[in-house]
Amino acid sequence: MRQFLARRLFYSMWTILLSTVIVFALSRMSGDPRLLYLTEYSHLEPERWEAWGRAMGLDKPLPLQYLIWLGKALTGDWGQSIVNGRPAFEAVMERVPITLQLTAGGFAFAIVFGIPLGIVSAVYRGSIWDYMGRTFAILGQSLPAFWLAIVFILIFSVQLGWLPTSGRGTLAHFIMPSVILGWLAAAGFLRLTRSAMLDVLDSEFVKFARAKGVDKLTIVWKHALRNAIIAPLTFGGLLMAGFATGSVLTETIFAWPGIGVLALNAVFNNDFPILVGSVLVFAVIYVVAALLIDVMYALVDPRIRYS
Amino acid sequence: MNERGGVWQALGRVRRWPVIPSLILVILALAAITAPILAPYHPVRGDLRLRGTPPFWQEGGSMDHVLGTDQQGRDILTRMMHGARVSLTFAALTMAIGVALGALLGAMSAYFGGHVDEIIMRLVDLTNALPFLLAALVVVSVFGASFRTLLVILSLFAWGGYARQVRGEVLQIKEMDYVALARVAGASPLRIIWKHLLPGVTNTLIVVATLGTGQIILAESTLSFLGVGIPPPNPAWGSMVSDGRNYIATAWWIAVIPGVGIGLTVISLNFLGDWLRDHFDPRLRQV
Repeated sequence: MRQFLARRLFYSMWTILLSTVIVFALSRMSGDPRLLYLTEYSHLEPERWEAWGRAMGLDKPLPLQYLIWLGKALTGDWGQSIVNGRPAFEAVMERVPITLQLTAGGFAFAIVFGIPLGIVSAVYRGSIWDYMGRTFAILGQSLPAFWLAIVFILIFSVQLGWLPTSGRGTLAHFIMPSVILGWLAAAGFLRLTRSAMLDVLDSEFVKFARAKGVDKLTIVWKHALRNAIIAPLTFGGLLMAGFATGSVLTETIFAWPGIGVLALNAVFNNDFPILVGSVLVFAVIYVVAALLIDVMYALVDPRIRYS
Repeated sequence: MNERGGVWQALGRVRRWPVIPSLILVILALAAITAPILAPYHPVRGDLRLRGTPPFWQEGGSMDHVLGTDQQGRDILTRMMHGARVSLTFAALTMAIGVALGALLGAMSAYFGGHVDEIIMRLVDLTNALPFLLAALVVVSVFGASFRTLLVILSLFAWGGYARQVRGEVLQIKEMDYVALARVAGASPLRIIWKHLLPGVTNTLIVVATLGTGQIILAESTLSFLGVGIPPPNPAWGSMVSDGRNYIATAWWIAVIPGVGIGLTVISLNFLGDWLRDHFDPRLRQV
């Protein structure tokens, strides 16, 4: 277990470290960082320009600049927003809980719909439930989420008037964003649960239990599900990258004021400190979430921690 | 991006050629190719007097604009055809680069093993772990949104999944006698990979490329929808949906119809990919 944890932790750190390198390299490729702070009225003598560069450490070699930048990033000094001068750390951090709430909603939807539908699809294979379950999965995997969101708004907000189009506050605000964010993941859970259940239901020990006369419900719950549930769990960690993409999209469409909207607006406003901050926070959130999920299934399944 | 596809075994079990999906794809490809000749109107210039004309089956619509017009009076059918041109060209190019990179790096990873394998597989992990949209946001803010920027980002993310698949297959093939014989005969590693290993994974590549193209179309349209993809006024399907967002209460078709195009294309590619997989390799068939 300790070895598994160490290896898994190493990969997470490596992913985060590499994303900081990529972000840093890209930020330097965009040109002299001093240019970001200039307006069209700025006038600087060459000496002051040079002095400014030294103050920012731009005269040092790039690897050293990276280390300085990383050190500052780790201590929460992310620079100021170009647009309104607020510290980037503060502006990003205050939105973390808002994004996490939405992610939790999406994840809950994915599990609550994906896994039971997968079980039903496998147990009643070929029935109407199976077809409905798989249609649900096909649609989730093939239709663009942004389009589904718009169609949902058209049906449930504009036509029926049941749900609010955007914003947050009440429980009703959670429904559409969670479904949109979670549908793709739900489709993945459904598929994996279904095929794992079918495999187990076909195995010798289930056939034996059946021959012995164990009733169907006990077979499904006690014999099959316990073995089949591992496959969808291992998938959880992989889902996280998709959730980050989904958050930006869902937050934008439903005006959910999280990090995703912040990052996208930063792109349009050329607000680089904010963009870098939100991207790194996103990366950390999802790498940590993936790590937690992987550790969780290692606890559930001894085969993983010893492999 | 990698964990989709392979659900529709119900229809996959019918061991026949998927006629309808293939037909849809052929029609789309034809529409894309012939758009400059056959499309009835100009894709970018609209007629402002005809803003928001509904499609023909709705009250107020006519056969002049079969699928209606958008908020600038541009014909939606025309823009759909030109959009197919943009989106399909983009997807085909990205997929070609991604598959080429994935096949080469995957085969190298399996053939050389050791450190090469370790480094390549850690890079694959990275393409899985990093959300492509975040990378795209940073890259777009640095280099600006363009067809080429987008091509580079998405192909850099696409190759990982293909590489892992190819690696798995090559690991098996490389143990075969004919590969050992080629090595004994003095063939260079590159020649062995190119002449002896890659031909063995062609079928797999065709399958993953078909399924992957759908994913690339979805990714591209998502970025275009958010305004960081293919820049306007190019009629990309994703940005067409985004154009219609503010008009759903009054003119739903502007946003809804292009999305149907994306959905149909991706569903068709997924059906075709699954059929190809079953056709090429019955072992891969899941229950």
